Amino acid sequence: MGSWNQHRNSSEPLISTHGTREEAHSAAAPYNAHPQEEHHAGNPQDSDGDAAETAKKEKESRLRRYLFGGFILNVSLWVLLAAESIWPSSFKIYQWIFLGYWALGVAVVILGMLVSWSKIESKIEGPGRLAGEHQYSNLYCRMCMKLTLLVIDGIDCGNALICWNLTLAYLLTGALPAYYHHPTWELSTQYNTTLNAPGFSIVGGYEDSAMAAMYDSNRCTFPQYDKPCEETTWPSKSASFSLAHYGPDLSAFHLDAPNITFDNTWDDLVLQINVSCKLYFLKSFDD
Amino acid sequence: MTDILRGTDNLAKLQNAYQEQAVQTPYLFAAMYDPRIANLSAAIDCGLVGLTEVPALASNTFRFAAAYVKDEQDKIRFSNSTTECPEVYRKAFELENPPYTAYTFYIASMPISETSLCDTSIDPAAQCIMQSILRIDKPVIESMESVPGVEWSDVWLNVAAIIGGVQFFYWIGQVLLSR
Repeated sequence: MGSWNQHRNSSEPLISTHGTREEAHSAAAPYNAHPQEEHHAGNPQDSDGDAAETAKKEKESRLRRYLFGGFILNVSLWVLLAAESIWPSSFKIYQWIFLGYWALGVAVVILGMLVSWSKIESKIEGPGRLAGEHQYSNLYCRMCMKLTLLVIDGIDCGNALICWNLTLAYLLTGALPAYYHHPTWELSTQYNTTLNAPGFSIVGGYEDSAMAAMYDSNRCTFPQYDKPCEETTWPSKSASFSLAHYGPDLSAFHLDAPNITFDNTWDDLVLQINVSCKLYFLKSFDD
Repeated sequence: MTDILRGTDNLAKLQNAYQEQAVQTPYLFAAMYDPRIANLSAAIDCGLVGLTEVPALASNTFRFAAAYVKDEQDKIRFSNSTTECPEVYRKAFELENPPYTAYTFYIASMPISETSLCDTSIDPAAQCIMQSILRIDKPVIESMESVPGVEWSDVWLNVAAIIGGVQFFYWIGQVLLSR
């Protein structure tokens, strides 16, 4: 882009109408020529200087890319922080930050693979491998690289080894012990207007006079009315109230109401039991 | 008894007070529990179900609230015991759909004003009604469930955070080295 603008600002046209295409190409050569072509054309000293200048430009270009990536990342982090402050979530913010960065890497790698999968492959296995190819000679490193390339934008064996080792260390020493050996309580509250009738028992000693009197009869009604104040519309459900003995000293009336539910807060379950007592204490007090 | 008892000097007086014959309303016990409990007697013995005194000659209103308890992870520990209690608790807390339901309740009592009408020592045919009214206190169910110490979603999120963190610091290192 820069060379195009430079040429457009010059007085000479890009392709002369009077010259050949080769002439036009040579005229544009200072702006478009590949470093390798210049290497063949010039003397060794000039080529060394050009190579150094090209390397410097590449370094500057790479630095600009890093700075641009950093800028995008920085903006993303601030957006995440702002979102977290406005809509607090259960996730920790550092998790969001690193997850965002990781997702960005995944997107970049997937895009890169779609565009030039063959180039990435040649970087690992092809004959024209880049500098540092000895790093991939180890089978374990190659496997790590293959797996890592699928998800992250870090084409470096040491980087992949750190990732996998830290992940395994976390899984083996942190996640799995916490999952299997350190359970915790989870508390929650739910609003529910329908509730099954609880088990309900009136319990007394077998020799209690009140309990003995209750053996006579019992009645159970379960009025359910749609509106709290309309006493005339009380349909009743039936419920049994059975007697059971638990050893010589314990007896109980049990409410057997498996199909009864409380649909509203004003539903009443009314249980009535005939009871009479010998009030010895009252009698002696009166005497 | 309106005296305020203080110190050891009044201990004997307190003991004597308890030995005095006094008027006492006849009472029974009430228990509210999950009806799926198979052995109520064992549940009472082990403290899973509590007994509460209620006046026998009265109308008692029970306002109850329910709470779910589920312990699939064996969070509740028992000391070495030869009783059946650990098994009673374990079976209860493994119930599902709904989980084991524990009930708490408040009682409001309206006693029969003329208790002599219920006294068979005065009239052998005397008979009164003990009434129990069950009503929901609040339509809210609190739930307590033992769960693994970490969820799988958190595990994967942490793994992603580790990988992202390594990449992040790797990027910083590359920026610094490229200068």
